[in-house]
Amino acid sequence: MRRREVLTLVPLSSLAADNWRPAVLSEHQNRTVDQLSERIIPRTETPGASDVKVNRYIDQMLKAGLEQKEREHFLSGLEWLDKYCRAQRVQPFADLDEAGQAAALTAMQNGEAGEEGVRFFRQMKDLTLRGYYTSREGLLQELEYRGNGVYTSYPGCTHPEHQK
Amino acid sequence: MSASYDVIVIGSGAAGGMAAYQLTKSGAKVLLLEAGPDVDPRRDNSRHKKVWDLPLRGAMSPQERDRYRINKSANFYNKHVMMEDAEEPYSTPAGKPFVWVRSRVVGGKTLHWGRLSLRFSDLDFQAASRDGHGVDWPIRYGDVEPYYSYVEKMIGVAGTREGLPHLPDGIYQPAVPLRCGEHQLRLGCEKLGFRLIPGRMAVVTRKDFNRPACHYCGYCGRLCCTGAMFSSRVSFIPWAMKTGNLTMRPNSVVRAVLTDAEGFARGVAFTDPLTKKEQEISANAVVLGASTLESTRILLNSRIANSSGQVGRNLCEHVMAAKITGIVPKLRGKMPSYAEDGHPGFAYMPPFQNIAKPEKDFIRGYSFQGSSGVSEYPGFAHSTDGFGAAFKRRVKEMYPAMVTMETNGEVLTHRENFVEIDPDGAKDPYGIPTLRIQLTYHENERNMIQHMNQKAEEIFRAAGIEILSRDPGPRPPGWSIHEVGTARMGSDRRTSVLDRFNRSHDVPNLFVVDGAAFPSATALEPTLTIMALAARASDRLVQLSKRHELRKRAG
Repeated sequence: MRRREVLTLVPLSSLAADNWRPAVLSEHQNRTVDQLSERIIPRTETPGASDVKVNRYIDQMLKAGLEQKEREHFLSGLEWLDKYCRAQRVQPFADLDEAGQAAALTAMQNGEAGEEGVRFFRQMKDLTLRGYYTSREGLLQELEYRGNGVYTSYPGCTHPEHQK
Repeated sequence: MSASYDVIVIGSGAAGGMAAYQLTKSGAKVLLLEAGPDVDPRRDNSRHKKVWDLPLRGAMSPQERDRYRINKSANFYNKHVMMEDAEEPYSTPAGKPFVWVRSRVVGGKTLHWGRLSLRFSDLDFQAASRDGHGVDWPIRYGDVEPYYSYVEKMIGVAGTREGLPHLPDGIYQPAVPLRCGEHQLRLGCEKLGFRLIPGRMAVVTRKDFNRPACHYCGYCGRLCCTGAMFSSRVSFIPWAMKTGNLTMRPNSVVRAVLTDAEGFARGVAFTDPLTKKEQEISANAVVLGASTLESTRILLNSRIANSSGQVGRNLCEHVMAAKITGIVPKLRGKMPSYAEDGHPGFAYMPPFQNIAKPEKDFIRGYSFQGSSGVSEYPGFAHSTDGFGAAFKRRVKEMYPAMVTMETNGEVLTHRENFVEIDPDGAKDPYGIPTLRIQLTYHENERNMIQHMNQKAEEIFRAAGIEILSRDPGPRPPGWSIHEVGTARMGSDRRTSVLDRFNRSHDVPNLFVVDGAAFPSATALEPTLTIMALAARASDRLVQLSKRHELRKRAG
């Protein structure tokens, strides 16, 4: 009975392995995804998307987590991005400097780069947020999340100024 | 030939589990048939795994999602107790979807239920007398009150006594206090003359009933690994076992209640999903507690208990709508000093409509559920504009300041809302005819939804909460998992299926003890009342049996 399948809780240790190789992305695509994610959630006083290897999360999602159509959209989005960057700024996204990459993302977000730009920005941002805020660093260091534990009491709001 | 058991109980959730315990406690020899397997939630600790250690970070794969296209309540943590769409098909008329969420497992939906445990009042039992819609319940608050207390003392409900006549107080464990953002919401409600109270949750906050106190992890919906949250699997079933009077048979899908030449129930026919072979077993009485629509399906497939023609009729539920999300300005960037999302409940705003004065364009009422603060995942980030360091900072600031609220409103009975055996002859994998479910919203619901949306906005404004997003809804019918009706109780046997003790008018040794018995949905969550009525019906069954009146028909 499928419902009763034992949950196979294979940790994502494979994502952290040193000999990690992308399963779906090419080397160039992988570099592009890594830099895209870092522009969306950069390193500040806490780790950024590149530090927590959001690229590896996205590669795994492409392999096993996304519908075929979403996967195709993502890969064609990457192709579109390089074409767009070459047309606007001569180089593919990964070879642009930070300011150039940020300008490309701004144009995509605002719709100045057309419908495909808006769509791919949305998809890339969604995957980056998902990968970043479910990482140990994103959840514990950046958001300072302290839940999902075992506690003996629940204080609730303890601020009189919030209660009147 | 003497029967194998005193009583066969069908279903092991809130209704069947309660009946099995109450009957075995009285000395009856009971066979409990549960369609699904036995899964002890306490033996599965996946809810406390860290999200970064989970495959796909806790998302289901596309192949898995395909198996739960309809049952969208299924997720990584609860899918093993959620029924897959194909496992037990049903149909709906074209363009009229109905989400039917089922758990075929010992304990049923109590393994992942919302836990809100509310007493109905005479305002609910006599609603039809007030506004002319439908029929009154054949019982009054005084009939159920002792059973409400009895159930609350067994399951443990954390809550506060508020003295509201339309939401009678019960017997409570210490309530879990409101969070910072919920207090803002409360202040807004109070400005408008409404109340917001801690949800009355079936969670023990003080060690009791052989269950440890809540450990405030906040993941009740992922199945409670200690049993602090009430489920039939952790309480009723082991207690019934302990009496020595219970035989439980999981993996037993009941097709029909069998009757003898005189029209009395003589047993049931059921199939083991593994062997797919049908067997029969006999008993002196049968109790249906298989969930509202499964019990009704069994009645329809048995072709019994329907001289009123009301089996399958009067399907009702709660419409969910007016989801609103916002941010409390003064909580921006104010990280709580404790695990704020470990709250085992939420803030609850009792119905306030059509109580003191009638509303203009709808009858009955609705309630709000609100919650606030941090969560394991900042979902709002996806609808927050921007990227880069400023975006990252904004998400962090908003994270502890979020407030969200949604409503549950009463859906009236309507002649177009009913279930029947699929007219095209569809069958499940065991050859049992399946249901066709038809439910749409009508004028009263539409007007109520509009009112919900206006009020949601008014409350947020009064509370000084900045509105970030709104989803006016409604969600698809069935989404609340509060479907009730379809074998209603009543004092007139021409217009009801069951008497005031959940006993079939036509088949005196047959009882239906789940939500099917409800004459109306009311605006309140159904489970506490299901349990109270199941206990009451079981006591009645025992009493009749002792008086040798189980096979006696009413005049």
